[in-house]
Amino acid sequence: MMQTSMSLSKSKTDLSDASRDKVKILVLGEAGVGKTTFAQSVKGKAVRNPTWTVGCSVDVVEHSYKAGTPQETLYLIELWDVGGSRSHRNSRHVFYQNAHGVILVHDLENRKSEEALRLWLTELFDDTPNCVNSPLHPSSSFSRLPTFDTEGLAGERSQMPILVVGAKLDMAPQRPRSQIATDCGVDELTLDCRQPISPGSTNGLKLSRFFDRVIDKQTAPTERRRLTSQGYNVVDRRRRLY
Amino acid sequence: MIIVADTLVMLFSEVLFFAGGWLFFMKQLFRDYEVQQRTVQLMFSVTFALSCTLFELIIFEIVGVLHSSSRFLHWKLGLFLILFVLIVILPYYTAYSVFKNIRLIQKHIVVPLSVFSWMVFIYFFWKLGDPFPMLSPKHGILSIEQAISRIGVIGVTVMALLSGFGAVNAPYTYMTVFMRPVSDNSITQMERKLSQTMDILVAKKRRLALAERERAMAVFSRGSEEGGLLRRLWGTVSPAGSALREQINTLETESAGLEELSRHLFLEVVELRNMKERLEYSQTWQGRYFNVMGHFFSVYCVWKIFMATINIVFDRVGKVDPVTRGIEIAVKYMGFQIDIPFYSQHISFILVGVIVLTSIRGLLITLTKFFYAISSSKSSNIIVLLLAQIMGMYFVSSVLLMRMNMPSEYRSIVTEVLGDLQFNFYHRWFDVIFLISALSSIGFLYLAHKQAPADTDALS
Repeated sequence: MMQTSMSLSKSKTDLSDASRDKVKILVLGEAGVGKTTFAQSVKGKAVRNPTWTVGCSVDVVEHSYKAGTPQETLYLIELWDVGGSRSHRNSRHVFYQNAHGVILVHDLENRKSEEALRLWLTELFDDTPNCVNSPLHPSSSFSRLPTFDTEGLAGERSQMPILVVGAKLDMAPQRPRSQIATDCGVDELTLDCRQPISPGSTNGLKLSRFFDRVIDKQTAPTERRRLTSQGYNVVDRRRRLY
Repeated sequence: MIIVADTLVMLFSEVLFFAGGWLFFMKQLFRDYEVQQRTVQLMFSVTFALSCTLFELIIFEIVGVLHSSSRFLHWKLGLFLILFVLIVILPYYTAYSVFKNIRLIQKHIVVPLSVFSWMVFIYFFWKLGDPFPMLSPKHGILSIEQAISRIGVIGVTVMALLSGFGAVNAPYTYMTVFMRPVSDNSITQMERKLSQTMDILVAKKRRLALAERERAMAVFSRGSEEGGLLRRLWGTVSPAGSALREQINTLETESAGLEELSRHLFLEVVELRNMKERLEYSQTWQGRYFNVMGHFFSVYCVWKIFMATINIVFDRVGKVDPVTRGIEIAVKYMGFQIDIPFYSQHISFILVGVIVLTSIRGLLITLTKFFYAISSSKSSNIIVLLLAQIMGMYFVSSVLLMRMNMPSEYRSIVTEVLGDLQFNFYHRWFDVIFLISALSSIGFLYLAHKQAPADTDALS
């Protein structure tokens, strides 16, 4: 009992440490591809009948950065599951601020949802979705948007790690590797989101590697500074507290 | 020989219409989805092609292309085919698709179940004829007239609903009088509120994740340290354990509340931005043009509502079509000396052609908007089948109502084929439903207008 109350008070003071390390990953994709189910399965919960996501729903997932090594630390990763309805396109940019990584979800049953991922990348990296004359304006919904150079964009913004997820594997088991994953040179997961992701499986390892890459990009400079000034003790203190 | 040549012409035009329907399906309707079942696409295109053939035959009747007996033959054939598609094929295939998608039903009972539901559909379809004074009792049970009369009722209802709503919605959307001003400041403020709410929500979720981890660790660590079932149970019900549980429950409730708030704020931001885009659009040349058109549409809408009310109240029946009446006015009051049959033919052709084209285009646009609004990847096939059914019924009943717009010498083919339908009933029914639809749309738009978020700039 004493120990639990002590660990409670410890976790209260640790919040200031944990909140400094914000790791934000966006989960993007067309409406109905399975983003909400995917985010819940990463957290370990199964969703029976998901409803349409309005706006954005956030899930916080624990992740052991560099698991199995002496530098293992616990991070809290925020998965921002942004609703994919076309009619809400003009207001979604509010959620894109300060993101450190992006997970692109497409439906293996529907090839067009994979092609639409390029448009999602454009929307994410383009800062002018509200201009009336821009091709992203909803009044031009009858015209097909021009294709763009995925490699160029991914290269330009190579700061942000990308992961491609193909959902609904149980409905379409035969699909090959998606074009956008090849173009951007990133990993791709294919899974049935209603099954849990076991940590040792290929999908689990790819996911873990992706989270590690995101944390690397986000915390690398400050982490190194801390280690050199205070040595091993900082990392050790964190491990005991969590 | 003539009949063969005419049939070839008809076949060629039917193939053209089929290709048009196929393209529309692929490029516009199923823009976001992959076509898994070609049968659905086939049925949609076939319905579209048959409907367009009916319109084409009316125009041929006016212009006088093709031999009259072959026209009559193709009329009968086209009507029979489209009725067969609308009554037998489409409902059966819709029921079959629905049952195939439900997982609880086993494979071998899908077909009998679909046949059974088709029979239920036919029963209700039949019963539809009872409350309406549709037929003179001369005809038998399985005649074309019986089927067309029922399809006519459904189709005319759909037409009047869409027409009523469209007549009211067009001026409301186009005219700037109804648009509320939105400042950039209010949008930025609302977005900032949304960001702040999301930040607070994320902080709570982090605390929740940590607390849940504590709870999991507490149970395990106690068990491994001291062992024993009782000690572990004590850990979960102890005051410290229950304090943790309470903390978790509070955090969960607070998170749920914040999520609801964030959704509400997001929808407000969407509405503000939509209004701003509409205002910006109305400043462009196209927008100004539509604004002016909106004024004309509102006058037209009021006039139509007025005429519908008059028709119902005074039980008026229009005997003369607008073309003949227009020519009469031109000859009597303005003294033009014109060759009546020649002008009557050409003007009817133009009028009917314009009506046909605008009704096809209008229906396709409405179907597309409807489809985008309600479809998902699972239900897209079934929704397309339902839309094909509505489209077929709509076009068949437009043929019925079109009869009123043509001079009497061209009405003969329609009257001959469709028999002794009580055409006046359909016009009356159209007026009634149009009135109901227009008045309810005015009511709904008024309520929606009042509910829209006020500009917070004025308040802050």
